[in-house]
Amino acid sequence: MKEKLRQLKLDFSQEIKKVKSPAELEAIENKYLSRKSGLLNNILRGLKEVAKEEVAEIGAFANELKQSIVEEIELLRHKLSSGGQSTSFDFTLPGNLPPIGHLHPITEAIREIASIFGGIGFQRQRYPEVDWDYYAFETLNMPGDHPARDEWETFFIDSKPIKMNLPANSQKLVEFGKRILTPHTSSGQVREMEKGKLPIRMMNLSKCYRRQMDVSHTPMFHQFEGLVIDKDINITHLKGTVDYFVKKFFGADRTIRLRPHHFQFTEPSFEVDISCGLCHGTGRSEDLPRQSGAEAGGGKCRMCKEGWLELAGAGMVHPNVLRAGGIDSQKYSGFAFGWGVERCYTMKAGLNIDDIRLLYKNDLRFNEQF
Amino acid sequence: MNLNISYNWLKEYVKLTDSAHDFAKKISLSGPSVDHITEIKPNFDKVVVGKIIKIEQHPNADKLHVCQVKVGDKQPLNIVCGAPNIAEGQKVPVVLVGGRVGDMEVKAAKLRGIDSEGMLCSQRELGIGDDHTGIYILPDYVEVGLPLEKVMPISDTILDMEVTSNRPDAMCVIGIAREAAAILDAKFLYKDPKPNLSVQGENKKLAVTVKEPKLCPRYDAAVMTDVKVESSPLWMQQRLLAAGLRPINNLVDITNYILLEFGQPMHVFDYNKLAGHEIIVRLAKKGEKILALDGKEYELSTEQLAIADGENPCAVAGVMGGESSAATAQTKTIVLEAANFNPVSIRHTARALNLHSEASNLYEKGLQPEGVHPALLRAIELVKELAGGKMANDIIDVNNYKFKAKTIKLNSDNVTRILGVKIKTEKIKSILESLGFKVSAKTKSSLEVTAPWWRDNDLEGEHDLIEEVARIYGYQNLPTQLMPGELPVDFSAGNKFQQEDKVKDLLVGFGLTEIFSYSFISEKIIKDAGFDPIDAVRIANPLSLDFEYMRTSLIPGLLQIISENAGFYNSIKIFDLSKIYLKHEGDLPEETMALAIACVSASADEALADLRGIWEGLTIKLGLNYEFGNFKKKEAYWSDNSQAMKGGKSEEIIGGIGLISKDVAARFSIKKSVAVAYVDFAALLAAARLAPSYATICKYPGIELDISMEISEDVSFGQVKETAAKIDQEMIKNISYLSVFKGQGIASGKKALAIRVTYRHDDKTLTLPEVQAVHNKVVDALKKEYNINIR
Repeated sequence: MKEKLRQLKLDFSQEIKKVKSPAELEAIENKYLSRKSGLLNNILRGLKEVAKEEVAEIGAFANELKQSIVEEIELLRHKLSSGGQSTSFDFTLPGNLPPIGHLHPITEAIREIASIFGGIGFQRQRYPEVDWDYYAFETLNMPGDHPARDEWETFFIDSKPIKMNLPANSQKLVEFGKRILTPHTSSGQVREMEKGKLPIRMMNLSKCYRRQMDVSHTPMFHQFEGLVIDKDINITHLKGTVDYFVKKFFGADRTIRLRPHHFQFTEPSFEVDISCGLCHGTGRSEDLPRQSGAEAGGGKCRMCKEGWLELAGAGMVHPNVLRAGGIDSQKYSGFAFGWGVERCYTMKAGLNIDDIRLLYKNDLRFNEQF
Repeated sequence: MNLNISYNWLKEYVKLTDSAHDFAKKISLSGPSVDHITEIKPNFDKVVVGKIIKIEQHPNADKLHVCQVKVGDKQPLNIVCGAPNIAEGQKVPVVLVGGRVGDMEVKAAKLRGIDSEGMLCSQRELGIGDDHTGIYILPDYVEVGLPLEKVMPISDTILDMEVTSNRPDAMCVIGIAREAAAILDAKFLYKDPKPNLSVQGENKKLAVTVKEPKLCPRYDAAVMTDVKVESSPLWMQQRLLAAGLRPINNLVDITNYILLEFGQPMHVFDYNKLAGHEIIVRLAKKGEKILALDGKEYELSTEQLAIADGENPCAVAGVMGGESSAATAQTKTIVLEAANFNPVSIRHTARALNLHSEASNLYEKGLQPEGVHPALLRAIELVKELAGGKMANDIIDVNNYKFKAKTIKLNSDNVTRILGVKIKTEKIKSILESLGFKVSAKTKSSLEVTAPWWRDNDLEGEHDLIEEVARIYGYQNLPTQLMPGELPVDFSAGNKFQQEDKVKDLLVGFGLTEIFSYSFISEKIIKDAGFDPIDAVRIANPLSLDFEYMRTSLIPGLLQIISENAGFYNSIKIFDLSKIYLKHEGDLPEETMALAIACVSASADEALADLRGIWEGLTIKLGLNYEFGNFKKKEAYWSDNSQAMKGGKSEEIIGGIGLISKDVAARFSIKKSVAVAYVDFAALLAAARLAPSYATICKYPGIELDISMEISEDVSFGQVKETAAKIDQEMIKNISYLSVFKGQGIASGKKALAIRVTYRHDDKTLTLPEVQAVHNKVVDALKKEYNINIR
């Protein structure tokens, strides 16, 4: 009997291959599965002749066989009913490719940063990129030939100061100045204050220029600036804002720390560090060979300084800056922060761009990777 | 500025119990931050002190010597060595056979035929310094045969610390110790040095005159005699090496040691080389030259401060000493100098001479005249101890300043206002006192704070004191929260960023690649693209000629990018949406956003058709309301075939579209055809329908009828469309382009144009005869106007 069932299975698999139409399928279904005259039932009627000990085994085999016949018939029924649609499409072909364009990675970065800060009420603004040194230095607590001005490798338009055309509501601390390419986005701070509208929650994401060019510097780059001025703004709000950004941008598991630092235009000033994503803040890398002099348990993390990455400068707006913007520092206080967009972006994406100049070289073989 | 600070050294000045790593974490949060921590341990085995008792020339090698080196009671070892600086009698580090330096195992070996039973090594081989110019010569006092690590305290932890430029007082071991004491609430162990100053040696006179009291507020000098110039002890050498300084001899090492310890530069002169035994602090005379200790000669100018003897300059004040008065091995009597100089003067001198030193770096940041004396006392103490020197006269102290401690009022409410948490007046007081401030309470919330001398420069007002309180209190102890309060009301800028994003997204969706190029470009490409540099803002100090002018158009940059990429692509589609800078004489340039799109192809028609299609796509998606028009000849200099775009309220030219002319392309070595569209972005937005509009969807079906015509090739589709549309403005809803064809079967000067006219009525279903009647009028009008033949 088992032999008969095997033969039936074989016959069915041969016949079903030849089926081309729903009618043929119905015929074959009747032939094998019909309750009264189906071939399967015909065989199974002989089950009572089978020895008792074999009944269970054969019964199981017959059930299995029936199941597989039903499935195959149903599968084929589904195929045949789909109305002649292509059933042999090669999915490894790319198909009709739509045009594929590429946003520049800096646009992507700027959008992401702007949207994060937009979510907590920062208004994006744009200021001159060619501006008076009045806004880049003078009003930022770097009067005259303050040595701190040298820290920015500034591009100048004028070699000698000329009479400045400052807005009517400027404090006009001095009359003469030079036109420069803004070496930082902070030159927007006093320009924003001069609008005379408080409170301020400004963000300035724009191009900056410094006389530097090597694998990690381009003479044009992008910075992000945030400026908040209101009554009762304090350090806890600066911490909150930066922490919010870091968690949104880099991931919820990252933490920040503020380290004291010194900038002329903020007091107190901070360096903001974020915990290193590579060594998880340990400063040690288990999978790197031990360097001479390093502690046991791996070499120094190649990414960070003792577990932390420097992200940005920040601080409470210096009273002299508020004054230069016509704001009473006894009534209002504020904080500001700024960082490099390129640095943030490459740090986040873990992009190993060995030469940052590629960003502005516009070798399309580079641009098209984004 | 970054400093390498020895943790062992630091512990001499502040009582620390933390591990170096814990210390680094804590101090970084409130003071100078630790960038890197390096543990130094002996990176060698079996290195002992040896004495070279005999040196012979190697028989088979010119550059090698064979040394007999005594390392204890045993037979002297035979060691082959190639270093140029060895001499009989020297004590040197010897790696014994079976020992190791770094990864190098030392075995007994034959070197060019001579047995060598060990190795003499340099500082770098030992891993304690950078010097590899010769063998590390040890001072004479060390005992032969002792392991090196027993005579030199190599194990230490070096902290690479960053101290901000406003805190030169903390750029030294004692300064860091003072910070650490306040931050970690630990005991500060510093005591003013108190050497015995009585004159014990032969009396030597020295006259000091300061001619420029403003540039040199204080000049202290001490004459010491009977000094013995030799190597400094290994503990001192180790500290200098760890800080990255090269040990020279005990006198020079002492001055460097004090620089690291006190942050006060010092100098030592050979007393007998000072003409007239005189020191004059004066401005340099015209043409005066000095051979500095770096071996180079510098010509000084008359605004630069010099330390001179009776005749010549002996040092560039605060920058570098001179060769002629330097102490040497033969020196017996010295003048120790500790002085204070004006920071601006030092900055200008160092920059003018392009000569920067550890000393000038510190002076530039502004040191205190009060710091001069303790450093000199410490130097005297060390010269007595390490060089056997004796005082040969009383200390000379020329000071031309009056120190008056700064007093600043601090209101504790303002501390709360900036920190966001309430800190008790008592706590504020104790924090400031731990940093060396004197605090007296005027009222419950008002304090009067007096700054210690070393903080005189960096404190300006109350906000500086608030920072001191905040950092010592610990930023990590403040809550992290977003600010409450009103949102800003200035929304003027908001929308334009969205529109820029929208246009960028559309163009990327059309398959274009966005480029970001430098805002400054070269004169060459401005000219090559047919523009005039005179219209552009010029940078006075460009990084190179490639970046000299602020661009007034995006086109030159685009052409350059195309030129650089054309070799890799058959076709290129790129766009740039960025600022351009329009010059205004004597004022800031006008900065406006511009959009430029370029399509490159081997075929001019294809490049133009690609670009026109992209432009059409933008037109549809932005609801652009503009017209094509002709440029004046002058405006179309860049193009072989172009159209102006006119739009906005005043129907002004807002941009253009066309083919870059052959000459322009050739100047950029571009062989393919380049089609370019450019537009003033603000004008584009003005011409765009930014809010969506909606028209009722018509209930009645339309009828489409095609016309295939032969028409003069001068007639544009736009003209045909305009003529046809006028026939029935109610029924003709759309006229679309189907195809154009020239060539076989078409008379020359003609083209085959196919268009489709869509007829529909808003209020009824049109019948074919109704439509046909209008359609015939359309065909007739076209025949009449353009003499077309229906095909």
